[in-house]
Amino acid sequence: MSWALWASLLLTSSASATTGAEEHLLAGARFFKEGRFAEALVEFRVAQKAGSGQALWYAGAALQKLGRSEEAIEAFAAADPTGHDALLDYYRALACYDARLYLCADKLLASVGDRSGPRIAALVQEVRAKIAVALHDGPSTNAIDWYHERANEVGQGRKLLAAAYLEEALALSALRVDHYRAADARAALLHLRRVGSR
Amino acid sequence: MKLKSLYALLAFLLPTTSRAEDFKEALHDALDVQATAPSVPPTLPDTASARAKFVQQNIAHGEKGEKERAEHAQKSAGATASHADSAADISAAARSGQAAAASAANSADADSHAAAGQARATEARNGNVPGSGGPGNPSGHGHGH
Repeated sequence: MSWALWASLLLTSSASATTGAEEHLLAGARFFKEGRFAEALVEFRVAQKAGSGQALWYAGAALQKLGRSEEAIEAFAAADPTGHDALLDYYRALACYDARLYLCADKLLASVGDRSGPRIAALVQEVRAKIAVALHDGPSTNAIDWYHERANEVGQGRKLLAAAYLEEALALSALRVDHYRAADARAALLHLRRVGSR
Repeated sequence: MKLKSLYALLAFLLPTTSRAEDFKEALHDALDVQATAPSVPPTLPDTASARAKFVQQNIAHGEKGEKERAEHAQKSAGATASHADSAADISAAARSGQAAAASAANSADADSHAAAGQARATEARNGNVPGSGGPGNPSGHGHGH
């Protein structure tokens, strides 16, 4: 048998293995497009269970649209870093924004830039401008305390989310001359990583 | 002979590439259509009351999500029951959906429980995923197998 035939057979079997997950991913995309985000989320979850590496990114986008920003942040953080594009990063940025992780959002939006076309680029500019205004006067100590408290509340059970709050606290500390509680944030992040690696 | 084999491989690969592009485009299109700017202006949390309000909002969203999931699972179960008679002829695609759903059902995740119902409904529709139209609708699944 020629090598081409073998290759064809191999490709056929691998293509059919991914079909189930792809179908659910596409069904999710159809629901998402129609604004039926709860149904889209279900399809993306099934696609994820069926082995789709990309599905978690889309589940994150659906969670963001459903207003479940913290769950969205966790989904995005747990997703395969190679399976995304600029548009998915835009949704990730919005999840950060909704959870008041404005520096996280701004960083992601900066990376999106105009990579997803002029309409998304205009949205990116609009959101970044709003964030710049909100951060213009710098964070108060109370604001930084809030992020630390939120990290404590979500605790060890939701390490990815706690880390997101602590990273925001650390980034906000850097905007202050006194670097308020920067050392606390670093220590807490280090602790989370140590616990996570055990 | 080698050239013939190469042509055969190319003939096989070209439709696969095109299908992958269609697939990517469909996903990208869905996200693009729904991309909007946030309606709430950004405000740094500055007081204890702001924190309390935020936590309360998050809890409210969580409760709303639970309610939506419960409703969705109920609807899916209803669809399964009403289509149970036509489920005898199950396509391979539907079986793969059911396997995924069964796996999902084993998970503690509430979304996945709803997914199980949805995939059973898929099976009952003879392999058509909800939102894709009936079995006679060729536009339901845009890619070949």
